[in-house]
Amino acid sequence: MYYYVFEAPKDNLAKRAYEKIKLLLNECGIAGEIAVSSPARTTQELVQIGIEKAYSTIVGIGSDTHINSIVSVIKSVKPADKSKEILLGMIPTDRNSALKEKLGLDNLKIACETLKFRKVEEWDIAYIEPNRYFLTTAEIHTPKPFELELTIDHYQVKAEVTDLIVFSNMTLSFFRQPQMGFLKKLVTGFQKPLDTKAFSIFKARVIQIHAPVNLPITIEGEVATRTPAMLYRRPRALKVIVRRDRLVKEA
Amino acid sequence: MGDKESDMLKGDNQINTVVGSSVKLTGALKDTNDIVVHGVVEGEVNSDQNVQVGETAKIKGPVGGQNISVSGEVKGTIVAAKKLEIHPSGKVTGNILTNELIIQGGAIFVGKSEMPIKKDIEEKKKEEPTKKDKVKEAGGVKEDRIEFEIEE
Repeated sequence: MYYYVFEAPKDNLAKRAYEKIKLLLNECGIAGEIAVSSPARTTQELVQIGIEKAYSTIVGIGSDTHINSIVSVIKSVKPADKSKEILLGMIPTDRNSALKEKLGLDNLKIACETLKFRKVEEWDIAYIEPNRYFLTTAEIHTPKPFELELTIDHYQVKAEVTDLIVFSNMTLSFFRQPQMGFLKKLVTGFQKPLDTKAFSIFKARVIQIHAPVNLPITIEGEVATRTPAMLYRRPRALKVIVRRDRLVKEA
Repeated sequence: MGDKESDMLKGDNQINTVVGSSVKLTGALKDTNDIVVHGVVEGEVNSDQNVQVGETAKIKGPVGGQNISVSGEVKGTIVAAKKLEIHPSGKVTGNILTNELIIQGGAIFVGKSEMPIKKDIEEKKKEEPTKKDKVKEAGGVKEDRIEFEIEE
């Protein structure tokens, strides 16, 4: 029932964490087939194998990048049994993982128990052309300001920015870092508070980034594509196993 | 992950739209949450909740919302279902329609103002007595009674 796709361990610490995870999964009674990515078999290939074997639940264990790549495969490969939708489970192992915080998985034991209880939510996910889905953020960062031109749903936006971030729920934020000459940096000690009015926040279903051209858009540090680019929101497109007793802040 | 980033991953029903001071927006901006404008908008700004027009904001087009606060410049019709407040730095050129209007000293308003006379459902409810002083005549003797009704 469960197909576990481990990211290739980067160090001994990761290897020890993986052994602990395997023990916890056994204790929870949700042991399943385990696959570990390697240069010989990439994460994408392993996930495709799991889908062909008709596993209903695929669990990504590793960094947010690893989990994002699993999502892209799940959404792009059609399962043999079209009536069954694949569930995604996650055990993010990065210390500063955005997904760990989003799911409230404070430690490995909670993460494994979450998989055991199988509470499922349908998540909106973001898609960036040509072929990437992401659960975290897509970003543009430049040291110098650039003239940004966007179409957000039915309106156009122009602004001078240094940073642009698109979240998986298609909330878009951009701002311009204050630019300081050398003397000013010397006087202010390299610190200048960011003007809060310089922040913009929009919510979108479709984002077209028109300009500038050829700027890299990164997802978890990897270049996913370059501008111009289109991003879409896929509402309720992914079934995710979430923590059962997570407190949800009311609006 | 910072607080701001984790806030961004919340559902749509918790995030306001903010037009930053360096932004120029063309088109119709609509949101079910609050809208805060610090930049330039050429087009409509419409919120199901509140609209705040900052000091550096310039809006050329209609503005609509429940409570609207203007500290910048608006050229267009403003419809505030509950309240419109124009601050000292605010400048409105256009007609306004609201139930409650506050224009602070120093503000500029050029246009026509309409304030429809209609009572809120809440106001109507307040008018219905919850404590009733009932004077009963019983056998020619008046009795003062106070009765409390428990509202549902």
